[in-house]
Amino acid sequence: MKHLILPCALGALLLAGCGYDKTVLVDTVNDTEIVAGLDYKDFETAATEATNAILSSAKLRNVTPAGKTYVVTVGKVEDATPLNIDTSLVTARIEEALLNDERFVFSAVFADSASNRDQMVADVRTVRDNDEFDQSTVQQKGQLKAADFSLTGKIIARDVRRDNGGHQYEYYFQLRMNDLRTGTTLMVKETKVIKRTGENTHTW
Amino acid sequence: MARVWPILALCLCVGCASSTTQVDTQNDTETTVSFDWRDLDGAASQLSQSLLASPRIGATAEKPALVVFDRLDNDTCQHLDTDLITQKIAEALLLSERFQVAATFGATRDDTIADVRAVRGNDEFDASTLQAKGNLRAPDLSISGKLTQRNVRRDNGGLRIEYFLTLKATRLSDGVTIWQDSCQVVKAVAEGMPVW
Repeated sequence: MKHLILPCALGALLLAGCGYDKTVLVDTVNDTEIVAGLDYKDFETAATEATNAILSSAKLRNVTPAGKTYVVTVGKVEDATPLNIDTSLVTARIEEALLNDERFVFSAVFADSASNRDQMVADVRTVRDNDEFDQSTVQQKGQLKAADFSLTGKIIARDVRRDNGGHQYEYYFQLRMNDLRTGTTLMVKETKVIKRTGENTHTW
Repeated sequence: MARVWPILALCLCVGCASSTTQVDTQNDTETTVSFDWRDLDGAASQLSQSLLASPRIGATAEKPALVVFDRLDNDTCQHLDTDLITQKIAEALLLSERFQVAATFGATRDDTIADVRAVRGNDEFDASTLQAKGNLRAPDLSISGKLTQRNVRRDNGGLRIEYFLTLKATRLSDGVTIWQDSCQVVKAVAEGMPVW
């Protein structure tokens, strides 16, 4: 019986090390685990690269002279992957970064996704002429800002067979900044994330 | 018996380790039979350099050419979103001051351009922020093309997979093609290798 104690203890230790038996909180700053699907690290990479491309675009800089704020809308960012991704996971980070630049604000009126529009903008205007309300506090007409720029894009995934039977997963984040005045695209940035797995890993 | 345990322990460790790896796209040598990310990057880069260097486009920084992307047919046996090619071309063209890309036509058109014009006459909006008429620009050049795949039998029973990407730029004012270029990627596999 005694000769089994060490192996059992060793086995238990190993299993614990693998994290099979308890949930761990991931330290997102020092996390090195790679998953075959898309995870938070990939969204961060895509958003950071797109933000840097937006801020360094000469064409965008030419049409956004300082001293004025420009209204950006979050338009359609299509999820063309089988992974069912909420594309606002990428666009929200770009919004956060651009809001730190005093040139840009985001539209809460125009947006492709309902969660990026604020229904209250319309609701607070429905109480005009309602005599329960102090009319000096009700929003006046002629104040809403239309939009100057629009952010659109697409997320694409491909599953390519490797020679050894494994998978090469290719993910592409394409983001565009369009000028709504002229109807032209000012910037395109594609970020690719490529991952490889062995034969028996199934992601999708 | 004592020697078995370290080996068993090692096996367990390997068994639970994640087998997914992130590819360092700057220093990667593995090739697949598909038209994969490396081929997409290479083909798009080669053809966009060719287009940028074409003397017949006639675009200048003062009068840039506004480009729109038409059909790019995928005539391969693989699922491939051809936006993966056109958007890389767009990215390269936009870095040049001689080119602009249209957002009003084609697969990547932006519906918000129409949405912000639909609120004209809506008195909730500050009229000075509304988009005025007569500002949208119409395109000058249209880029279309085709990605073709051929599977050719080798003498040794293996297979050669040949990919051809052809792109052309049509001047929209008179409907003539003023630039066209192709690039090819050829891969070979041995007999009996499952390809797809």
